Amino acid sequence: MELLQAFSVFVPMIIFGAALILIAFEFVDKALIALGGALTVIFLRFITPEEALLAVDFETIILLMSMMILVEISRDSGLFSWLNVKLVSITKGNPLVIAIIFSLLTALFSAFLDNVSTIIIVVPITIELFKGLGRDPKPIILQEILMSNMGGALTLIGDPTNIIIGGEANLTFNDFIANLYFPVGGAILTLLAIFIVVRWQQLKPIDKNLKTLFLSTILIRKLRYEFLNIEVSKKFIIKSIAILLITLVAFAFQIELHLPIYVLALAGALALSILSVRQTKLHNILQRVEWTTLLFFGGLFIMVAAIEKTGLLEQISLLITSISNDFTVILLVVLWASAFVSMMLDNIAFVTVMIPVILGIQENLPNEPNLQMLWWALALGAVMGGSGSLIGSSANIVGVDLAKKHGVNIGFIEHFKYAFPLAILALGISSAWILYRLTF
Amino acid sequence: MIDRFGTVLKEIEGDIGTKDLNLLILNALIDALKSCKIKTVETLKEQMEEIIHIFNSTEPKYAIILYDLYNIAGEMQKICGKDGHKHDFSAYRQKIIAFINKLIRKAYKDKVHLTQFAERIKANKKTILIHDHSHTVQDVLRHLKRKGQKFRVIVAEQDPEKTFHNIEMLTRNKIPFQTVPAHMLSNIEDDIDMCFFGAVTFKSTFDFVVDTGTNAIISEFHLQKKPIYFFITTNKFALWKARKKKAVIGHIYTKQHPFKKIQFERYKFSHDRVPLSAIDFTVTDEGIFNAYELKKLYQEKAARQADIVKKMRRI
Repeated sequence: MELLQAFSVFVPMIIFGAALILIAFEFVDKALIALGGALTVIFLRFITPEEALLAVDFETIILLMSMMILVEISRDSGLFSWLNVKLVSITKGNPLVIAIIFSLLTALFSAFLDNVSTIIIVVPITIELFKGLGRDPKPIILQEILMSNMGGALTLIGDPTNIIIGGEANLTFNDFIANLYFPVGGAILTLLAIFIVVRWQQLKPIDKNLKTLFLSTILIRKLRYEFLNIEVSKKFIIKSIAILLITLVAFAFQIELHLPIYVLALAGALALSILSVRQTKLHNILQRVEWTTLLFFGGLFIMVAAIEKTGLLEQISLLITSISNDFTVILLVVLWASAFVSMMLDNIAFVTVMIPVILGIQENLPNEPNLQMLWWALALGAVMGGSGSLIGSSANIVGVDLAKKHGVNIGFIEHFKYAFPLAILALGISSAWILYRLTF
Repeated sequence: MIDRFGTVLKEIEGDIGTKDLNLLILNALIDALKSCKIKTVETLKEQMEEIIHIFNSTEPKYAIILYDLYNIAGEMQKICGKDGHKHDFSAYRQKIIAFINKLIRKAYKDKVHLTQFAERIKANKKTILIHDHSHTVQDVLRHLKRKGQKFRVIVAEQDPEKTFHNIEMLTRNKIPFQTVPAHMLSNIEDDIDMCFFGAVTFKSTFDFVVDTGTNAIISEFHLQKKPIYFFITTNKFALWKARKKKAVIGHIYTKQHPFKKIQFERYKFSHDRVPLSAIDFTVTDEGIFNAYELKKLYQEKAARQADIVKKMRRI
């Protein structure tokens, strides 16, 4: 009987593990798997329905939903297409400038929009340009996917894992930027430099070859025609830019405003919905909100609450703190373990389960002055690790799918060969930053 | 390189038509000339010749573009002849860009001239049949409406995207219209008073290259003795001897039945060819011509073009 009781402690963890495996193999939609797991732990009485409702972090869900609405309405305005075409024109067809501008643009968009939207906005235009010029578009697609993951690590709203961490650890929008600009910026610039050096043959200037330059300017004119021919309203674009900027500024002044970030995001989404009521139908926008992702989050929160209730996560926290007396080692373990797990499994699920573990480690080390560093190690590990394999993040999957639609096939191994070493390099930069922060 | 240019040109032509393709190409050439870091006039001339060679080798060839490229090459020779061999490269480049800008302005003027000649068509209270996605036909309809002629348009449906463009234009300009599937046109033959068509080019074989489906409609209405008007600017004439009898690119591909497990081969073609003899009037930027007059105009232009090419080869 005692043995059975001891085993029952592991049941919610086993259910969670099974859910992760089913998600990895895309058995059915991940929302159904997460909700199925949540209902199973409720039916097996590991958590009561009331506790389950309390476990759902509605702040995170409202923040995600609001950002999705903001991005979808802005996308309807043609703002991103317009920006893309303007930037393509600036490049004057120079492949090197195209690579630099679009890599940085992807990182920047990803920091403030969700990664999947960024990939959908940026990848098609670069595929068309590179294919049109007769160059292999694979490297630039892989580079953009990588940049979208890296950029997403910079802000609280850049990646779902950061949204969860920010919500649970009470970190502000500015906390993320102020702490992560160095490792994230360093990784972005290093990866960009490596890309330019390795792909120099494809990127070298074409301005002495009138034929190639002419072909390139024809393609740019074609893209300008295609994208700018979509009927766009200047007023609508201005409204979208204004509300997006106001929302971001409000995020930055979150403390002064005494308002949580999810309220600010919801206010932004509501304001833009009301202002653009003539140009877009809310019904259509709401159809494009990824409700399955939000339900997936709900299911995860409930499963993790059930595991937490068994005391197992507390034990894991104790185990991690017992690895070493040196806090640096603990941080590096969190960073690299998060990275490798995120390469193999869904990083959102992993971060959700790691939140109570990190809180436990913090409780176990009350005298450590740099406890906040644990969150940054988790955030960097989850996002950068997720970029290392095809199944590690949704941006990778969507990017590869988009490439396939445009006739460019990128397999798991090909993606891995490219992304894994660069993810390791980015994690190396993050490790160096951790060591620097703790030493100085 | 030829294939790449060919693919891009075909894609653009499919989207925006030949006239706008030409304007896009001229503007892109200006962009390229402005950004290029070539240092000598000779290198620029060599590279321009290579570009002309590429445009001469694409399949299909775009007469309207070649016409302008030959004019640019002619102008380059003229500047060199005038200035001797002591040219400042940037001044030379500026002169070429100014000439291309002149060609762009001329292209707009040609459109204006063509629509002005089209005013002579008595379309008031008539029903006009259109089919292809021709910007020139759209310009003419817009112009006739602005000039106070009241007419109705029947749009013979073809590729949905192209039909929708026609519908959007007619709606924007408040021109009354109905659509009819192209294969059902025989049921409304009596309602149609005249037919308007645009053309991609006019060849040395005295055939027009047009959108697919146009030939069948023209044959039908030619038999019914309904006046058939073609609208084409003269810079679209293919002023070289046509090498192939067929300027039509076709391909066969396998298609899947939408509901059943049946695969079948489907033919698709890029263009139709219509003999000049099937057309009653051709409206150009230089006037309205019957078949005999248009032949004469073509021969004059072809002789002039051959002269330019000969001079270029000599140099």
